[in-house]
Amino acid sequence: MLQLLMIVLGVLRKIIATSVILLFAYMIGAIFVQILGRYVFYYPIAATAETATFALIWLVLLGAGIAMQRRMHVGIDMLVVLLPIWAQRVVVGVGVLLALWFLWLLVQGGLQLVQIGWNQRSAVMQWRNSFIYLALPVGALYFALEFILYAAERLTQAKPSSVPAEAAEIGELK
Amino acid sequence: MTITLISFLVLIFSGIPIVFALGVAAAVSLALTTEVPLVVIAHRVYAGLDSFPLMAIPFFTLAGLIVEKGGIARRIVDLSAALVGWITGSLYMVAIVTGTGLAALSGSGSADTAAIGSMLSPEMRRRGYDVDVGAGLIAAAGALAPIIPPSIIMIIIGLSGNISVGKLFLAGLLPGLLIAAGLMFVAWLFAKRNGAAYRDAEPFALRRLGRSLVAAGPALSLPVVVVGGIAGGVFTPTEASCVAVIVALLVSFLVHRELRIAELPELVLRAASISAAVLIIVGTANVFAWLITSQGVPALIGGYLNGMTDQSWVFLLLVNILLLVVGMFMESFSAVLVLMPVLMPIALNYGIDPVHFGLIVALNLSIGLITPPYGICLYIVSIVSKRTVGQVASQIWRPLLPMLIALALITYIPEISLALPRLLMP
Repeated sequence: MLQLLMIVLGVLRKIIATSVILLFAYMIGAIFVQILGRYVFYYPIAATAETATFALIWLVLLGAGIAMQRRMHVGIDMLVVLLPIWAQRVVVGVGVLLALWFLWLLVQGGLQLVQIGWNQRSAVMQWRNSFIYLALPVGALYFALEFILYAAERLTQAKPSSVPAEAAEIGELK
Repeated sequence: MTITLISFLVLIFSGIPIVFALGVAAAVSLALTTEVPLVVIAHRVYAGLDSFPLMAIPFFTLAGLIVEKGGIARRIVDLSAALVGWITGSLYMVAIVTGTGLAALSGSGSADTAAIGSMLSPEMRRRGYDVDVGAGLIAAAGALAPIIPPSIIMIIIGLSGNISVGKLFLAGLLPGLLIAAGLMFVAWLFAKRNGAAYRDAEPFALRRLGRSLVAAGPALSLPVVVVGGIAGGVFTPTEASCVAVIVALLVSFLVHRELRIAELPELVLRAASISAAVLIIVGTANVFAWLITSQGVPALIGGYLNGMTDQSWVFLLLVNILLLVVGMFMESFSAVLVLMPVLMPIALNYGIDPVHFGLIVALNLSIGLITPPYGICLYIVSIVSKRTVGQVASQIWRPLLPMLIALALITYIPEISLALPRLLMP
């Protein structure tokens, strides 16, 4: 059962990572075409800025979960680590619940925006805004999943480290 | 207002990621003190991200990663060695000049610090240099990245303070060079007074300089294209960042041939997740900023300050102290996003030039990258130099001193930062 869940998680991560890479590639291509449009083809291309910005929104909301998986979200735990382990667990536990509540607000609010956005159209492409708003609930759900996995590890860890994740990650690379 | 601030402070020190500290603090005060429906949170996050200029952040991040991976960083080290390797304390000099060069190729300090530290710290140890002093200098050289264009923090400062990013970029150039000169002077003084190990300088050779200049040449076209393109009105900063990615790719694939296509997806994914971690804070802080503004906090603090002093220099002094303290404890992006909406209107009231003010903020926060207890460049350099944060922190005052002097000069002589933007982007 656990093995099956791990496989599902792996596939999900793969899909999200691939989508993020494609969104990034699209953004580079679109902005490059925009520059070419102005200086080479002498033809302003309005669609590139709009679609690239949409890609950015999706990229950030999906990427937030990947950043969680890679422990790139910075937190300041230099005070918490001074507490005894049991107190640390209480503080972290409460923090985790509040964070999940915030993500839930994003999911819920995002779904409402998806409903409202069905009747709104984007300025240039005339796309239904729902497709862009959809990034909010989808991204927040994936972020929550990765955050729960992180929190489970953090709460069961014997001795949490106080090195910022970004520093630790870059340090390990070297 | 009190609820917002107290819950934010409690949450931020609870160790949960800052993005949640910002989000939860905003949500709690919305729920407790207003009748506003909570759907506004999702909408504000979305609105915070729906911004074309923000796209420059993933692009500059990717360009920086390619520079680091594609053999460009190593050539900048070679060029720096040919340029300043003849000065006493040569390795320190090389580290500082490399930091200055990399700052012009990338937008954030942490990757630069890691790159310089991993290349030069082992060499410093081998040649009998004081590694802790060296690590402090490397951290400070890495912290030049947010001041010397391009700079990710300046994009965020520009957006949240409604300042031209192009002008901010230009404004950072001279102050960055001034700090680099100050760091070199401090390093030279230290090397002069300590032992024979530092007299390992190799004589200056024009041929070597020429050779390394040719090797680094293609990479050096990158800052020329970016800064020149923005200053000349050819590109917006976002377009310039896209060109930076393309130039970095071309140089790494075609000229140096040290990057393989197969490595590219991982680099893109890394750039995406680093920037998503920053940008999700931008989105969430947008809820926070909206709350702060709608509660009239800037006017409140502004009125209080106005009662205290009508002198702009006193205000700037207070801002510097505040930002230095904040920079010691907080990560710089969230600090900007929380503080700019409060401070910017007040600064304008005192008649301070927005570009000058934006640069002061950037400079303070880049100093915050090396100040203990929480300075990301300090952490990274400690890890790559295999020293504890405490050991490096004990020597951090040496690079800190010239940075603080530069901060004072730049705060009170606006021309240092404003001369270039006035000249090139009137």
